[in-house]
Amino acid sequence: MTDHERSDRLLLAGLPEQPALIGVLYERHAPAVFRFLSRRAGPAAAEDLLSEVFVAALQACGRVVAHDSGSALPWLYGIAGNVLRHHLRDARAGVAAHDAGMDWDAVEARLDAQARRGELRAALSALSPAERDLLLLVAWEELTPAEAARVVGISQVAARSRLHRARMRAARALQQPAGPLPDYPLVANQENLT
Amino acid sequence: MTPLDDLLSAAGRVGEITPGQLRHARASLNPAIAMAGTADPAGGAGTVAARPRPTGSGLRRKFALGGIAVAACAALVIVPVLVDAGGPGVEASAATLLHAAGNAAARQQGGWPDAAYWDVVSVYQRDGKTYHREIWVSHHGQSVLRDTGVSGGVLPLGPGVFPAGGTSLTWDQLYALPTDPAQLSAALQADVKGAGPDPQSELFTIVGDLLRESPAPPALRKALYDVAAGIPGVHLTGKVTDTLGRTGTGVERGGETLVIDPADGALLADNEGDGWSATFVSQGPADSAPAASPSQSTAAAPAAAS
Repeated sequence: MTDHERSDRLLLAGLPEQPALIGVLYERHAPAVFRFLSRRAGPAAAEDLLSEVFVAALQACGRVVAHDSGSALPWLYGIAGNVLRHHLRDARAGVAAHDAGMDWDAVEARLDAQARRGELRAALSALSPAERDLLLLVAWEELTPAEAARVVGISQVAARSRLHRARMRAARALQQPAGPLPDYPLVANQENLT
Repeated sequence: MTPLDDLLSAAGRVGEITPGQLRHARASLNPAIAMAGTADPAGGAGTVAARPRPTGSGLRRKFALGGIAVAACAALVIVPVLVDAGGPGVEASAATLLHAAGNAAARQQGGWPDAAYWDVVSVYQRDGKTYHREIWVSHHGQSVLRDTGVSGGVLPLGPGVFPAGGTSLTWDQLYALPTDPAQLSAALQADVKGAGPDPQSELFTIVGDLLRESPAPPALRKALYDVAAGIPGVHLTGKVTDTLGRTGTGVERGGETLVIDPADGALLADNEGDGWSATFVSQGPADSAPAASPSQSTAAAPAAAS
C-alpha cells in the first residue's frame, strides 16, 4: 500500500513516527483547508496561513485520532480555526470577542448586494460563536453534524440539536423560516472524504 | 433551498487554491517536517491542539447535553432546563391560561392588513451580554434592522416573511391564515418534517415566532394561543417578572419558555433556555422606517451592559 492509498485514519496514526506523512495529508486536504481559511478571512490570509495550519497539525499530531468518519478534515478544521483566531487577534486587536475567527470585511466582499450583506451579518450575529462555527462547518465545509461536533468539541447529539437552534435563530434574525434540518446521517460512515 | 441556505451558499463561494500557491505552502512545510523528524514526538511544543472529545453519557437527555455543550464552549448564563419526563399530556392550567390569553388578545383592535411596517423593539441577551434590537418589518419594501448585537448602523433587509410550517409567508399571506385552531395547526405543521426535535416542539416554536416579530392580527393571535393550548407537553412555569419589571406567566415546552401577560395576551419575553432570551418592549404598526445606513456598521460589538 502506498502512502496515497492509506486512509486518513492510518495516516494520522503514523504521523508521530513518520512526520513526512503530513505531506500526504497536505496533498489530500490543502485545497479544502484553503477554502476554509479563505471563506473566513479572504484569499490573501488563506495563502499566508495555509502552511501554518499544517505545521501546527504536525506539532499536535501526538494527541489526535481520526474522527469516526475516518476523515482528518474535522481535526484539520479545528486547527485551522485556532490558527485563524490567533491571526485575527494579532491583526485586529480590540475586535469584539464574538467576532473571533471571522473577518467580516472579507466575507461581505463576496456578496454584491448591500441588502445581502446586511442579511448575512444579521443572521450570523444572532448566533453564539460555537453555533456559528457549527452552522458554517456544515453549510460551507459540508461536514456532517457529527464531524462538525468534533471540531467544536461537543457531542453528536448536542450538535444536531444546536445546529437546528442555530438555523432557527439565524433565520429568525432575518424574519425567515429556517426550514427543516437537512437529513444528515447522525454518524458518518465514509472511510474518508477523498 | 431556504433563503438562509441560499444566503450562506452565496457567502461561502470562494476561489480554489492555485497550483502555485499549493506548491509554495507545501515547500514551507519542509523545515517543520525535518524538525519533527528529529524531535521527541511526545514532547511537541504545539499550543494548537484539537479539543478533546467529550464523553457524553448516552443516558443524558438531549437538552441536558445541549446545556453542557454550551458550558464547554462559552461563558454563559446557565438556565436550569426542565425536561418533561412524564406523559405528554396537555396540562389543564396551561391550556386555561393560553385560552385566556387568546381571548384577551382577540379583544384588541382589528388588525394591520395595510400597514407599511411592523416596528418591534426588544432587548435580548446572548452569552450573558445585553443587546438592543429594533426591526421595522416591511410589508412590501425593504425591512431595516438596528441591532447593537449586529452592527452600529441600520441594516437593510428584504421584505418581511413569516415562518409557517416548512415555508415562509408574506404579510398578506399571514393575514390569509385560517383562524380556526385546527385548520391553523394543520397549516403551520405542513412540511415541518425534520425540523426541530419533534413536530410538536416545532409547532410550539412556530407559534412563538408568529407572536414575536409579526403583525399577526388579534384573531390570528387568539388562534395561535389556542393552538399552543393543544400541544402536548406544554406546561406552566409560574409567575415570571421580565427584565422590564412586568409580570407574566411562563409557558414552557422543550426548553423554550414564552412569558405571556394573560390580561392582554401580549408576549412579554421568550427564553430559549440555552443562554438566549429576549424581552419585547413594544410592537406595533409604523408608517415609515429609518433609512438604511450600513456604512456605519463596524465589527459587531456588545452594547453597554445593562
